[in-house]
Amino acid sequence: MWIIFIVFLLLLLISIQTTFLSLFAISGIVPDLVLIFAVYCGIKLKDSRGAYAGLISGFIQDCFSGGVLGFNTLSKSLIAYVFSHLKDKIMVEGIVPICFFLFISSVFDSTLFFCIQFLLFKNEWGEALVPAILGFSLYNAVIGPLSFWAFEECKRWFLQKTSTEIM
Amino acid sequence: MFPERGTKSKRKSLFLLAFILIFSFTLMTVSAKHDKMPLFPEFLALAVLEPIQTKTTDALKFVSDGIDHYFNLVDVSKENEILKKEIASLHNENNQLREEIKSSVRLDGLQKFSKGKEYSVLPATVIGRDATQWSKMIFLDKGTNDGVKESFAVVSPLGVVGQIVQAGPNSSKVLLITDSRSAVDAIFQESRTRGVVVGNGSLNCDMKFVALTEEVNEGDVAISSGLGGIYPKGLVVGRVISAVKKQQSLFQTLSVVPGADLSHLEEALIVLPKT
Repeated sequence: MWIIFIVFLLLLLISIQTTFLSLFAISGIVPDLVLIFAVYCGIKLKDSRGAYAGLISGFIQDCFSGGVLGFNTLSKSLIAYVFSHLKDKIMVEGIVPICFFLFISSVFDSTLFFCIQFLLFKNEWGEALVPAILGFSLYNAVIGPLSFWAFEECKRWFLQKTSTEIM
Repeated sequence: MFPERGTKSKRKSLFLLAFILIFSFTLMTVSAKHDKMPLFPEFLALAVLEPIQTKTTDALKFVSDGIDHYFNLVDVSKENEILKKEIASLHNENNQLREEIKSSVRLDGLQKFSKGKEYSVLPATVIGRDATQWSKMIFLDKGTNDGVKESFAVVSPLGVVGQIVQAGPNSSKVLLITDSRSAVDAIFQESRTRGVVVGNGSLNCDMKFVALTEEVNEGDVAISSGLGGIYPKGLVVGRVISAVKKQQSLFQTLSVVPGADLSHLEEALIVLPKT
């Protein structure tokens, strides 16, 4: 049942991401809702479900993206995998930790993207790279707590409708 | 009992990590091998998302137009309040019609664009954008059912937009010229100096391979050269916004702003070969 919840929420997020999220772009930078969702799954889902959810999230995002197929699968699943293992060892609750972990995850995601692009296609980027990564990471970190709250509400609604355990 | 369980869980976790790595790298190598050619999951995704994107974009246009008209009516005097409300109501009623008129005016402009050219064009509406920050793609509401194929150029009256990299039955994916994998052979309109406009993943592009000896100034317009067989010759690619000559380099560092407003694009033209 939890897979249905993940896929349902993902389709919703990707619909938002590909349609009107560009209205909220700041200097061409838009937040990555799937990345925030992968971090959320890593932290909130029990056992290894977070990592599986990250894998599904990344793969679906890859299908709706023009980048290298597999990049988001790798990035999002690794992020969710790390958080699903760290959640019992470090403090992951509260606004500040969420912002911090989202910032770190975004830096990892974008750095991995540029590394893979460089390795596969020898693409080079100029001085705009660092500000773009920082802007992207900050944007994700800022909207993270609000997104986490929205995901929690969706989960609560889903639990009420289905009366199943997904955590 | 507990250590056994722990070992089992650790093994499971390592298996999962190995699966993630193998699966992702397999996808990436297959994808890189096919370059810009789409794979089956991407075709499937395009077909699934197209109806949702079309409906969301339509709803969004309706709402934004409604908001625009609402703001036009703010700050009215009390005497005219009732009258204004009536106008507002009429505005709302005619909202969709107004949007259709606006759209048809824009499309007329787009159609005029192709008159007298060696190619015909197919107007299309932008129904979505890329699902990630770093790739620069848009989704159009025209697909193979409308005669659209991969590698067709996409333009706007203001300039080059990109090229079709994936065509589904009713929608298609366009790789924008600002994407880091995009390259357009271009020449400067005045000096006829040649170069290649490549995307850098931001709002602007870079123009490469322009020799240090060439005179390039801010504001110079780069047009498509027609080489490469995708973009017709003479379309505006962009305008130089900064030109830097570094002594240790063979070429100039040129930053180019695309002619087409890619971040606010609502409609585009797909270039079709004339039959």
